[in-house]
Amino acid sequence: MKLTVIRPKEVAICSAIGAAGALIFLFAFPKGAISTLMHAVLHLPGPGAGIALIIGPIVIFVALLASLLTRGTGGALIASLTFAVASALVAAIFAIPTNPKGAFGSAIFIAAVALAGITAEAVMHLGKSAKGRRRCLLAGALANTVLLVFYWIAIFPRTYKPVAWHDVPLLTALALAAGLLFGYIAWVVYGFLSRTFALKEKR
Amino acid sequence: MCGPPDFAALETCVIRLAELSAAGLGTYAVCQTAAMCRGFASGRGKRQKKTSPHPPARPVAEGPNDHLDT
Repeated sequence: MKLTVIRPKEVAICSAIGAAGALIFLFAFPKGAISTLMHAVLHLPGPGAGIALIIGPIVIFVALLASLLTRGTGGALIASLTFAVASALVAAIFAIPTNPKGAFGSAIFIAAVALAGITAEAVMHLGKSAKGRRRCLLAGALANTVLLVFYWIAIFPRTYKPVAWHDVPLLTALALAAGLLFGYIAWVVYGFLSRTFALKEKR
Repeated sequence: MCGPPDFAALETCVIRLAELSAAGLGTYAVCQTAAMCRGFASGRGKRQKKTSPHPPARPVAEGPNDHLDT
């Protein structure tokens, strides 16, 4: 594993990606939309379906795109932390109502998102192989599952109720599948951005 | 599920996702058009270089068979 120091310009890019992700998340998913979609429309069990299929994938996309666009170590962590802090700040400043079940904006929410970012970062930098498509898929699946498990252990028992054991396999499978999908989407978007802005970075 | 289902929120969500998708597609189209224009402009530049007003000098005749005018 080779660790390189992240440059100030890369920090700015990662922060911008994280902040944009937070704004899009708060704009696109008003309070109650995720719960209604997951439980009333898709009839998925809970708690955790919204984390596995909506919030986790957004965090993963933001973190992996930041990691792919930067050479230095820490891009995914910076982007995910900015996502969490920016969503907390914007929701507080503009008084955007959020679902108390997800503890959005709290310190534990920031910790959960940071943990997902650290997981993505670790997978993207462990080993000697380049940041490729397979690594993105693995990072996405693992980070999404870690976020979901953290919510089950540390957040949902306080804000709502503990997860039922019989719902764990289905929700874990959904988290893995969504993580894989959004890892792949991050790779595709990175390819598009590389071509468009002619990022000739040989990894 | 915590609380009653909020279908108005879901409707807003769908509308906003559609707006974001449209904005994304628009940006993609603009990027592709710009890339196409850049490619077209660079191709025209290459053609102009080829038909430059200073053509390369004719090769010097070396052997007796190269005197085509005689």
